[in-house]
Amino acid sequence: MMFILVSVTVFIASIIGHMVIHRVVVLLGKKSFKTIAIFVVGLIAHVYIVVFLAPNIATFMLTNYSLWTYPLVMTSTMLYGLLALAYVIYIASPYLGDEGPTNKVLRILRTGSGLTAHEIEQAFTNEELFIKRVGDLQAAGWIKTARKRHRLSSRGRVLASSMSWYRKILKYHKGG
Amino acid sequence: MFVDILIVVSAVIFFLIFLGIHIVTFRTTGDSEVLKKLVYNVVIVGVFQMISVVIAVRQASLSLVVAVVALTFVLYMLMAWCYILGIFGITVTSVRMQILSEIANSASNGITSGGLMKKYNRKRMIAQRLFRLVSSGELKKVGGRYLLRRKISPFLVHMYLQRILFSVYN
Repeated sequence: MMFILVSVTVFIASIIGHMVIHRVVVLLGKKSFKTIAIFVVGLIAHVYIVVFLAPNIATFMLTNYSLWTYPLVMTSTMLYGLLALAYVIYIASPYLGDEGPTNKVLRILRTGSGLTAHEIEQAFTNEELFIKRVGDLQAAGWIKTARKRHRLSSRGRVLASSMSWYRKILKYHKGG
Repeated sequence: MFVDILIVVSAVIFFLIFLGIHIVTFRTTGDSEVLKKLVYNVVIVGVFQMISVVIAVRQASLSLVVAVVALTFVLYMLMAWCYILGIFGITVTSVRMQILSEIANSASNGITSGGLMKKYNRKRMIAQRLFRLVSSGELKKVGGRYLLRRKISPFLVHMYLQRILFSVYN
């Protein structure tokens, strides 16, 4: 369990580090998703610590480990990696400054005696739903816009066709 | 060493089993009650995984059995979480991905913002979300009005957490 404690500690330290770096970067006027690189630094630190703590094969064979000291190098490394990945995926939307449409629907329905579909629609604007998101797709290099017409870039085409195959596999065509 | 390998391999194998069952479920039962189907798939495979791991390490001490089962389950759940939010959720619900998809399906000379909004507009977007929220039991429709079914639910907890993260990062 000592190895698991290392994973959790390094993960919490990485989150705190990420928030601090993000604040500093924002103060400098440059918001970037690249700050998530701190989790790679955390992974390297984690691997360094668990490899340092782990016994060699000969010692492992001769030692009777307690639950606390049992060497779990792979488990703890995988745990850190998955925690970091889950966190990065989870913060992506708030980090980009978006409130997801589903969250907004739930938020506006929390108060009052319910709303009709039309009233819910009125709470959204084209600016927040489309224009910002089209801008994000352009900034990410997935679409190109020329003469007011949007087209996929080669990277965007790869992403769109992967998504199309995935939807075909699931037979799920109601995206968005 | 054996325990370490057992935890990692079992978590990966059961995640792959979950993926297989998830694909078969979606292909055979249509596109309603998306969240319920996902939760059932994750939980059923998770329970089956716990039973299998207990059988595999039944001769070890109770504390080791509990630790191995818990760690295997946590790794499996994290993989399922990353898949559901990172791949499935983005493909199924992301507005950006749907915009990309609509542009991909447009004529070879591209599409204008106006044309895009004719195909994928807020009416369609809200209708799809309301359909998903009603079919997953999160909302109910009474006399044409949509209402929350519960004061607290996984969706609402997620919404509050996202708002906290929004204020931390913005």
